[in-house]
Amino acid sequence: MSLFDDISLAVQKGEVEEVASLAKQALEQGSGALEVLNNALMPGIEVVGEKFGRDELFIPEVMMCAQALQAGIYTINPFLTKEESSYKAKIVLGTVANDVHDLGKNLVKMMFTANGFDVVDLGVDVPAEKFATAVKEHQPQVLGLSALLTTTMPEMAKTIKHIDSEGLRDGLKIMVGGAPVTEDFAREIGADIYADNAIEAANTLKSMI
Amino acid sequence: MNNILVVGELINGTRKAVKEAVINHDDQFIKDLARQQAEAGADYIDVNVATGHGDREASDMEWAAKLIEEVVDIPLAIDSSDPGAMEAGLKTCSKNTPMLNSVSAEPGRLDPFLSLAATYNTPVVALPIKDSGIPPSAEERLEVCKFITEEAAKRNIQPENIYFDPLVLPLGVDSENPSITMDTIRKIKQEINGAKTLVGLSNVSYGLPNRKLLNQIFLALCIQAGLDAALLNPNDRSTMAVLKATEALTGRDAMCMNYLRAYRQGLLKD
Repeated sequence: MSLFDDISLAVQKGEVEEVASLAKQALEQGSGALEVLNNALMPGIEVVGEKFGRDELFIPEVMMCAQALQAGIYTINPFLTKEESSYKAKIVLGTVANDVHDLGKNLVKMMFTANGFDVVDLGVDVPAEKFATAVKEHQPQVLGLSALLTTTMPEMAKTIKHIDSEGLRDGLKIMVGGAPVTEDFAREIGADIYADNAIEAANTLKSMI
Repeated sequence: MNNILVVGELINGTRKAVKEAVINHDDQFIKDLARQQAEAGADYIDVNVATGHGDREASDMEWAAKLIEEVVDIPLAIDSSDPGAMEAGLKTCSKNTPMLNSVSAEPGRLDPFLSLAATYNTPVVALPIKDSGIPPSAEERLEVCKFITEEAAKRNIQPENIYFDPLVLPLGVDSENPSITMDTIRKIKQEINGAKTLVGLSNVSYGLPNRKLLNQIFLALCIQAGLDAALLNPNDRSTMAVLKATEALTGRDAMCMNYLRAYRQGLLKD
């Protein structure tokens, strides 16, 4: 089996140190950093995503795998050219006003970061105005809104309306998620992207960018 | 020590079937769900009718509370984060004194909800959440609980009428989470004289397989730590059996009378 396959497998098993040392070995043997990223690390995390979707892997395992992926990225990062290491896209995300739940948002952030996106996290209980200010400041391609409560879901609609009224929607896609949020609700309030879980969110984004 | 107070959790708008029943005002569905939980041994029926559709929560709450009081003799736990819906629910209850679920230390939620609890003289569920979020450690959660206790005292609400939720975060995300919850229960019981504790169980098993197994053992561990009340599904017989057995094992069931009664009623079978 090739070294790339070994790296991919180590990512799938969540072996943090193993991934780092194998990635280093690959670089020493003359592989390019981008090659290691695209042909070893990414295929590994993609398998993890698929297995999570089929309930074959569970959240603690996925978190270990994401850590392993990050260890690999950390190892190869200094060897990526400036162009190669540039982020695929910038994402601003946060939990909407009156909602202090950050678990789902943090999982999403972790998956985005692991997949090479530049994430600006505004935290929890973020009012619509603060989302708008951050969009102006950071010029992201995607704005991610999270809510865990049925009572704070209307804040998502409010935030989207506010972003629209400020004229900030050009070139900006809005993604929504959280336990009570459904695809129908996302459509109803004018969101562009809905994802059922953190891995789906990362995969959807990768396929779009 | 007293028996564990069971708050039946099934009437909650985050559940798809309940959400539809609320939106369509399906009387029979809500009545059945309330009656089943009361028959299964609930002490309170939680009523959460938030459906994510803005302005109708108060009128939905009034509708649901009225219906449920027609079919059960136990009190309701009015569950909302909207003060208008909360008051609509509290006002509607005419049979028993309801419980207010819930107040927190977030600025918008502390004052209006404590005021309602004082006005309607209800027990309250209190979450040690601040505007900056959920405090990570048991010590910090206890501090927020003490702050809420002081604010409540200003409105003549006694600690005996406060059910502190120590907050349950998923085991799957951090192995320490269940221990922090249990630690918080112990600290509240030790340091706030008279205060009670209540947990919502199911969050502990989020993202893991065989959730019921984890929920049930976590329930037993929390009872050992000093728990007073639990938000759970009373229609789940094996969970209720775990509850009865743990009460007996922790000295909350003198001469095992409740355990034996449950046995004779056939409630301890799988």
